[in-house]
Amino acid sequence: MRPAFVRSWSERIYGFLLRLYPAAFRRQAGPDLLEFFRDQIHAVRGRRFGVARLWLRALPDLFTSAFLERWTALRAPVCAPVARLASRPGDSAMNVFLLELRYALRLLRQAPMFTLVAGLVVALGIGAVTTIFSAANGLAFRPLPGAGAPDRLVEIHRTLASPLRAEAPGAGRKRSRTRNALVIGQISLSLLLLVAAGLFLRALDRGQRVDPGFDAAQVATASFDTRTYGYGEERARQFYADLRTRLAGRPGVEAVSYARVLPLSGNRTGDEFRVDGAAAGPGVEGDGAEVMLFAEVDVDYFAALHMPLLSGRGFAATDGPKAAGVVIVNETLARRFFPGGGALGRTIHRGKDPPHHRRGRPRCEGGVSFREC
Amino acid sequence: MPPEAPFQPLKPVDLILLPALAEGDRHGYALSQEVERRTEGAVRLEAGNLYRTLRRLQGEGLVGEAGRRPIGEEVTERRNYFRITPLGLQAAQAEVKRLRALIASPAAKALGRRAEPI
Repeated sequence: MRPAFVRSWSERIYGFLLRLYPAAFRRQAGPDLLEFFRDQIHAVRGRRFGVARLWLRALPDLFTSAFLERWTALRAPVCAPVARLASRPGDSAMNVFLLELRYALRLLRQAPMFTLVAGLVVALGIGAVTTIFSAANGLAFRPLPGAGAPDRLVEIHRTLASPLRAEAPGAGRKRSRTRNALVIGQISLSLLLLVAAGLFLRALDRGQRVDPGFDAAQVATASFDTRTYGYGEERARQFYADLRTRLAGRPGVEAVSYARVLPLSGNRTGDEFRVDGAAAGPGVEGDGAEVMLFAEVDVDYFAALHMPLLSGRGFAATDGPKAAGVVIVNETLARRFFPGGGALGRTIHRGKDPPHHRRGRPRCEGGVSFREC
Repeated sequence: MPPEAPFQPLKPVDLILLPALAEGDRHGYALSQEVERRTEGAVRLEAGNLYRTLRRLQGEGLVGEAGRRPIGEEVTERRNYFRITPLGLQAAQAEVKRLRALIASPAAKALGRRAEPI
């Protein structure tokens, strides 16, 4: 058996190509991906064109998943500052476009390898399309060179069976039938696209009129992942604290907060929770263990989003990592487990572990109005 | 969305991976082999796609890591094993229940009858 440290050329190339993935993904899954590829090579060894076939499968997967992973890394915030502003100046479409453009350029600068590959792919694509169009234009759509009246050119050919027939009868009809079919197809496709666009517009209009239970007007958000900048936990904490102070000190800013997941962003985190002393209300089974979705947020989150607290208190600066856990539940949960009221001060256990394994048992300290949507 | 089913509907690939992990902890390659076997070659998960999905499932709390284990006696590198969480098991079971109910509905049955050869 060959020792693992002797790597084949394929493995080396695959290892190099793993750089296409974002750094965070590579750190976590890189060794596993390489191990996976090594297993695959081992499995196809001895087969005819085995390694070549493996590359044909592995390369598209690598490019696609690396692209998607980079895209997801851009879209999914690890920590999003939420700031409520008295007014947001310069929110014109042009301003937003320029901001996005600057953001995109900054991201591209941070990932030179990705930029290079993406640029090459686009360049290749443009080159190929230009070549094909030029060839088609030169060969099919231009008049023949040297012909004075190209529309009067005719093609005469003779076959042995029918010496005098230049063209089979009905050929012209067949051609026009094909043309009609093409036109009908084009019109149907256009109509389909038009209807789809109309439906999208209606959905967008409806989506904008949904009441999500919070007030997103005049709220500015940004998202970033300090890990991609190589920040350790301590440095990241310091950065978040500094950013909060700097943002809060700006004129016009009413409240600043952080959230791991923004509401209605499509990201979700869930776990099993058990509520102590839950009344056996409708839908509460057994020991009251339920799968619930949660979000980790910072002080002033509810103030920034204008979500009213119905009772209890919001998160405070003293609720740090060393303090006892605190949780704020929504109205639906409070009503479900405690139909008669009295959710405040109750304890919630996360997961199946016995409570004493947890550092601090989160106690319900507040209720917040958050309508189901 | 009803509160007892926050993960429904699961993505088709989740519903293939989670039951494959429910039988025991597996590393990536073994998992992809198992998926291929279970689907009789219809689904073939390549490395990048598989690990992206596993990472997402980890983020959602449906799959956890079962630690690294050595490959063999001579080999020093270690493999990362994945394990289904109780939450993942619950989500997969709930999804199977939902799909069963959907198939058992009169509309689906009528469609099944129509599809039968005459």
